[in-house]
Amino acid sequence: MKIKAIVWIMLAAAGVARAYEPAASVADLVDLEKKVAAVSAKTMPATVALVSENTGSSGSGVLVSEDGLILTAAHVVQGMKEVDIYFADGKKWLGKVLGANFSKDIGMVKMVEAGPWPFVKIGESKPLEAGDWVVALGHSAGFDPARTPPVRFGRLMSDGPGNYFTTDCTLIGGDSGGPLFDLDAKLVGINSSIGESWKNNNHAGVDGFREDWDRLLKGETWGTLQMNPMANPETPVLGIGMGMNEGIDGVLVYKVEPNSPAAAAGVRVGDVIRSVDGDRVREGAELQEVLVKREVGDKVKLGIVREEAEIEIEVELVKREELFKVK
Amino acid sequence: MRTYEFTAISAFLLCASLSAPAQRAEDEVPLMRPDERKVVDAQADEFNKALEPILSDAAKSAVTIWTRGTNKPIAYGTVVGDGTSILTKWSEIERFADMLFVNGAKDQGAKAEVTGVFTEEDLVLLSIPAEAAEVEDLTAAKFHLSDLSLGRFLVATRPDGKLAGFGVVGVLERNLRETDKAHLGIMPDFQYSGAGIRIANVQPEYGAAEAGLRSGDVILQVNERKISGLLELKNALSGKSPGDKVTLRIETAGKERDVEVLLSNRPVIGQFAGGRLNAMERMGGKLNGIRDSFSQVVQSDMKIQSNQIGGPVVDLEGRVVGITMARADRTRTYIMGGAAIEDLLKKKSDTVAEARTKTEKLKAELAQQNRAMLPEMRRQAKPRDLPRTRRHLSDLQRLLGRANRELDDLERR
Repeated sequence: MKIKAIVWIMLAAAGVARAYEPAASVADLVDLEKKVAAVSAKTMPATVALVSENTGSSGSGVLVSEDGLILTAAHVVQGMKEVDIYFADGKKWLGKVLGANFSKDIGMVKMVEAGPWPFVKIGESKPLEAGDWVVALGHSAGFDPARTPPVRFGRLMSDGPGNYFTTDCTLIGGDSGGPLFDLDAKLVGINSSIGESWKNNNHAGVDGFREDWDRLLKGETWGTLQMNPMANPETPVLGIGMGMNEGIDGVLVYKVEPNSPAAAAGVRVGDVIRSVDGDRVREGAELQEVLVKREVGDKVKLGIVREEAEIEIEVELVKREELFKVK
Repeated sequence: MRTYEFTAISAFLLCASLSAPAQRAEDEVPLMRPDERKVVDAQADEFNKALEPILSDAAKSAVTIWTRGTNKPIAYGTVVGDGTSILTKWSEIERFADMLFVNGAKDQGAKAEVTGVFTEEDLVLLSIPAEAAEVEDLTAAKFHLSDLSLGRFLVATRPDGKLAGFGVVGVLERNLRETDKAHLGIMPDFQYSGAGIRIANVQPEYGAAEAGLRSGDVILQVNERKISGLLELKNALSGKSPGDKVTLRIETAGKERDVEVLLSNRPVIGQFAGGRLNAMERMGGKLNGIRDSFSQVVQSDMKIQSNQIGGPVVDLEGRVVGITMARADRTRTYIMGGAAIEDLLKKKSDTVAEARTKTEKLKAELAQQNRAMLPEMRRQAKPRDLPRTRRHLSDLQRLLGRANRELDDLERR
């Protein structure tokens, strides 16, 4: 009971405390405007279009080092070995495609020429939360020599699933692989996909690159482009199979994968999971929704009913693909 | 012509698969947590309230435009001139030109007459009686000729002083009109993969034809710039204007020569954007019919309804810096700056009849061009497209399967 109370207060605090820069007065807005203008000016030279001469497909990317390392989306460089890099001034250069992780929709390209190239600083995506102001750039609708990549200003709407997050910076075809910045002009995300609503623009968090940096640099390609986060190989899971929940208040554990963290923590077949970190879950879909928003490595406290006793078990989440790996 | 590669189908899949577990139709952002919703809703309220003080002056220059039998305005307008003239979007009110009403904050409704059309910019001037303008407490917008630099905040107001739309300057002022751009008059050979660009067809009466270029010639260079692809040719011409001359290095049957070509105005070309991009443009709301043919506009990410176009836009000091011209797609709203509007208002306008004649002529030209060019522009499917097309098909089949299952579920309930 004690833990429940603490969790509840933390949630309430998160609702009141404000992490984002305030926008409560005209003076606040003037400050914000200055920052957005500064971010636009600072990041524009390092924002590029990635165009395949073969297929004519067009995406975006951003330079993050003086020697010409470009971060982009995996699906932008899918099936390519080389790609044409266009800068906002219309100049064309050649890029060599390095690695890509399709599960996170992140990819790397390297300029063939040595540079020095304009570049942006890499920030952090994990600390981002709802309300944080962000600026997106990208070559919307393909590279157009008549204009620079359009600037869009918005905020984080929702964090997750996994390494992804959603903003209201409106994106469209061609923006894929383009950069998303915080108000310090640091790269925090890569444009990935959109949903129907203009508030539903999805980005891959830049922290995903950190984890995979060496493999990407070496030119490895792996993962699957899976827009359904429940089926994404890198989605965080407990390692249980869920039973039918007809007549059961909670989620019936029907199966426990042998190599899973659930098994290691002592979750058993027949247990009924009723809460995650104090939040009630009434059915499997709710449990999935809660977990998909957590990250791999997070520890969750499961409230479990076992043989009419209430117990609590802590489980560390792993990537779905880890469950079935032969060790 | 471009071919677009993006995740439209995947993104549609995203919507379909994520809305399924929770069955919440109103979810604009799938999987948004309640605490996140609370934060962003409170933030939006705070932001909109902070904007209101700067809108109060400009709101007196904003009106809504109505016709009989609708319960929503058909457009917004901006009060200009002596305070009895309203500038608004021509294509949105054209069908109702004989039956127009204008409302200010007091909603008294004054009958309005068309006094002149700026057909090329898709704007129209309406006139209302002086008494009506007084009753509604309208004042003409004083355009502030501010520099609309990247990232500047832009705010569209409603007549009641509430927010109509917010965005930032995303692209500096430019001319969107294709016909004002320089044109060589060739159709490239899309199958060709050697150095330069091989000409498939030469359009009669344009510069290339006049200079004696023929089908099969290869363009190697434009002035000093080597050309290896279509985009590069476009880049090389993007700084040039109709009437300029360029020197092309041409290769014909192994022999090279320099040819001087006079650039002309680009012919009217319809929208050839790929089907997928067309679908994506509309994701996020209705668009205006005329949205890409303006000669001097700033591009903004302003989110605004297509029936709220034509009203004033202010900066953070509350000064009117322009008017909204079109909601062009999910990512774009076009805004005409104050200086451009003042120049336009000094020009001679068309009568309604003249404007309609011009439009008809343009449509006929467009139809003719489309007929002439469509077979050339249509991209031929190639063997290498096969895996991608298969993938799209299987995505669609999965989506269909899912939709069917959901329908079955719903029917069973």
